[in-house]
Amino acid sequence: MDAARLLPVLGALLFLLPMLWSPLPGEEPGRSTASDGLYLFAAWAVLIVVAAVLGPRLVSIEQGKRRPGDVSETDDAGD
Amino acid sequence: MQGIEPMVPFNILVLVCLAYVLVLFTVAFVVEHAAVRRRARWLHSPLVYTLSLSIYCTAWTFFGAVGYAARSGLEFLTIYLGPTLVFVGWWWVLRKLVRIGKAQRVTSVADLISSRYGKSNLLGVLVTLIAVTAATPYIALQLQSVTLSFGVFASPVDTFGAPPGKEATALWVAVGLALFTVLFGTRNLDANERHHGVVTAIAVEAVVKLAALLGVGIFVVWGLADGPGEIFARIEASPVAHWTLDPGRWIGLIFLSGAAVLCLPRMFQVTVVENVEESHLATASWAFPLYLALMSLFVVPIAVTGLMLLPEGANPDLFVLTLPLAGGQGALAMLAFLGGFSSATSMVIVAAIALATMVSNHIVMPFWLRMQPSRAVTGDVRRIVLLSRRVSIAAIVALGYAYYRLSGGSAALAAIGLISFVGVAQILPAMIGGIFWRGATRAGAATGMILGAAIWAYSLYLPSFGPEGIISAAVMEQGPWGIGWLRPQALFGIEGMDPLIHALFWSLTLNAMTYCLVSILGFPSPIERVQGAAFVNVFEGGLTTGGWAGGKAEAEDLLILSGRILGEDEALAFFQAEARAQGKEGFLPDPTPEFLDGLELRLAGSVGAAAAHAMLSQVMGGETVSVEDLVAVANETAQVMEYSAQLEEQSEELSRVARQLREANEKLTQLSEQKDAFLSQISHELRTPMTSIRAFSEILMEGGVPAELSARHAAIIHSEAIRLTRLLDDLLDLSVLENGSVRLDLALVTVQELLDRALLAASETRPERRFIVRRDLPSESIYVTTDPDRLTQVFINLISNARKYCDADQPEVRIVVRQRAGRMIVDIIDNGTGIPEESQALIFEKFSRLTDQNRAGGAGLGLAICREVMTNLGGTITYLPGQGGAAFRVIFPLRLQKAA
Repeated sequence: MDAARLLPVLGALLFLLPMLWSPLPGEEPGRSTASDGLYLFAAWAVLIVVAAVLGPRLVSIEQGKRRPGDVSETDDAGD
Repeated sequence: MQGIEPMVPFNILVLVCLAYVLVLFTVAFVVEHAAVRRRARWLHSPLVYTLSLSIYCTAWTFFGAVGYAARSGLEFLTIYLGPTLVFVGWWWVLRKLVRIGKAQRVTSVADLISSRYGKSNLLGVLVTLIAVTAATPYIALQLQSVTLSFGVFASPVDTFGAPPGKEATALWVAVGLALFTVLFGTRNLDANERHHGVVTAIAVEAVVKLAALLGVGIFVVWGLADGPGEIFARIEASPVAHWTLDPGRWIGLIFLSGAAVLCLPRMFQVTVVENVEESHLATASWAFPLYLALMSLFVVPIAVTGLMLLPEGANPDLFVLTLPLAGGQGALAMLAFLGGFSSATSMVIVAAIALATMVSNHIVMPFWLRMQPSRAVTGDVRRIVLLSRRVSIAAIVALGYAYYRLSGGSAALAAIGLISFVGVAQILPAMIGGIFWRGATRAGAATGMILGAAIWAYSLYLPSFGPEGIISAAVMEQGPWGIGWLRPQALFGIEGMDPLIHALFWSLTLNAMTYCLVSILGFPSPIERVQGAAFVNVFEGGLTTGGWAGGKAEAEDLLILSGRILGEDEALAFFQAEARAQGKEGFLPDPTPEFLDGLELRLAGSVGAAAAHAMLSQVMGGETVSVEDLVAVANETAQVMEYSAQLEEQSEELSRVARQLREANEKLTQLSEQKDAFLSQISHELRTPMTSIRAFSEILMEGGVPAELSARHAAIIHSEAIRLTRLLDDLLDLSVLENGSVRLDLALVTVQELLDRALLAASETRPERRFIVRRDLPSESIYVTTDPDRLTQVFINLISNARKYCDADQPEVRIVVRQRAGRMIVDIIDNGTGIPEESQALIFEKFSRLTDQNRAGGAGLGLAICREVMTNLGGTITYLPGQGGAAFRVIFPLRLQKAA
């Protein structure tokens, strides 16, 4: 469950990473657009795969929790 | 590659479009019917759900992404990366939204916000206005893209200018879309019944767009180039490679698109409102990002190849179409055309449904309610809601078309996608704050949104109309009245920011800050606190709203109200189920707070939370949040909650049992009283004829009576004996029926025949009264297998009862016949005062007679016999409350099987 929470954070980091090696506006680009694209798609694929692995498990956790009629799922309290 | 001729004549293109729409139509129609018969299990598959989410990819992304890539390189990806993050992180926000949506029966994003902040209609109106303002140009953009792509086919690509009938094309597209949306989007009233047909049609369109874009991409990579290697080299060599990553825009756009996927009314509609099962989100969490990735996979290759191969100045927004055309691939171009067409149509359809629901629930309905002079809601609300939704759909599409005409289909539209995103993103603080922060208040949400929307309009939306538009070039340069720090694109004197990011930053920052500040300084009203707790703690169950205390309303009034909104059958079914849950028989539950909450939620599914609350308030008389509710909200710590939930469960169980016992006891007492009364009654009934028989026979025995007189005496004896026999027959009949040892003579008859016979026989009861009988003969001509004599007996009884007891000046009997799931339903309704609520439970008992007035013979066995007859016929007879008179519902099977 915590992995599911961390996944978007990891995704954001991966997607923001290209900013580090990109040159300032106006400078001549020192890296390749095509490989940047490849990198982004690879990061995307990683996210998709991890989400696909996590998804069914989360559902089964969820259902397992709801079955016994447990009313206090406290770990989702917003405040 | 020069001199590309159009592959397809214009009229054939129109035919293809029509055929395509017809296919969609059929899909929607078939699915809708399957859904009604509850056969379509596959409808509820997570795949359909995921595909329906693809309306995120509108024509703007289908055609525009390539243009975007041609102009600014990889930046177009941000539009897909944001939603990817949101969906991958579904555990945080989406799951909660969907759960809340289900628990509160949310009908739209405006309804969510309005419901969270104390069912405030002000907020509903605000969100609706923002959404409509932001969506109008977006719809115009879809019309433009369809028109442009028509243009590509209908005339050589070199002369993009004005293909003949451009306005007409857009008009026809708009009219067609409005029609489709009205037909399939406003069938059901309750949002929780969902639009299966539309959703499936949209899933089909999603497949078409994906196939089209992948097809063009594969053709470009392996047809026009030698595979990925060469494309790689071409990208490096092309002007696209010279884009620079602006960190501000990069972060800003990822954030913006993530916000938009949550706040866009159409996305909210498919993600939350149309969601059938929460677990579908788990699938969508990876499948939807996958869909987005596939949609954007070939965008850069297409852009690069288009820039290389097509003549200078060709519109990069249309590369998806023009590249296959230039390559001589007519069929592929047609597929691409249909892909774009799909993207545009699906977006317009869902957006129109979502916006129309909002407009109708938050603007039209409250206004209409305000117009109602009386406290109670009158008239058929259901029809009015549907009508207002239909009109809203037409109006919204018309607005889009008007915008398209006014803007002249210019390039100014191209940037509108992101501008529209910033507009709806103003809802984000109120939404996220609303589901995570209990202290958020209505005032905070309202001021934040108003401020954010104002900044958005001032610094981004209005300037997008161009220098001749509402904001003049002078104001843009020097600020209004020469105040420099108010310049629309350099607020507070901060210059050099990208206009879009500038507007996004200021509007959202100030929006969120005001929202928090006003919320902290203010204090939420009771309803807001209750709703806030229900939203934030949605996963903890228990403690739902709890707002209606003290049942001042009559259950019957509520039934009438909900009948007008939900439809009569559904309301009756709902009330019956609730009554059963309370351990009561019949159709009328006690107006307990729990029941009222349930009813409000149910109504909210049809007309929105605010309107439902207002309607119930009208019936209940004022808003009612009791001190106990507030104490309950204030005190609930986790332990108390858990403990009290258990206690509550037990006490609920206890009170249900107690109620059942009490009712049974009451019934028994009443029955025993009745039995005593009957015994004296029956001995009286038996003794009167007996006495006269004895007296007259004694006279005859004494002899010496003239022949004429003795004949008369004999006649009296005879008729009294007949009366006795009839009474005994009735008693015997009843006991036979009760034992279940009755013999049924089954035969095939029409319902009409039965009713004709019954009406004829019943006309002997009080023949002096003129009765109007309303029937619908065609609905009665259904053959049933049953015991005609027995069933007729029941009808005779009901109709003569109506003739006997109906106290209206112009008595009238209405007979409604329906067929449902292999059973016939016959309602017999008169226009008298009906039967008072406290007696409704007793009328079917033996020897019960409501009043002594109007007694027309009989010992009060009629309805008891009816009930036993119906039980023997495998059916039921019940009293129907809330019909404006005494009403009985007789239900029996179409084909009665012979038992033995």
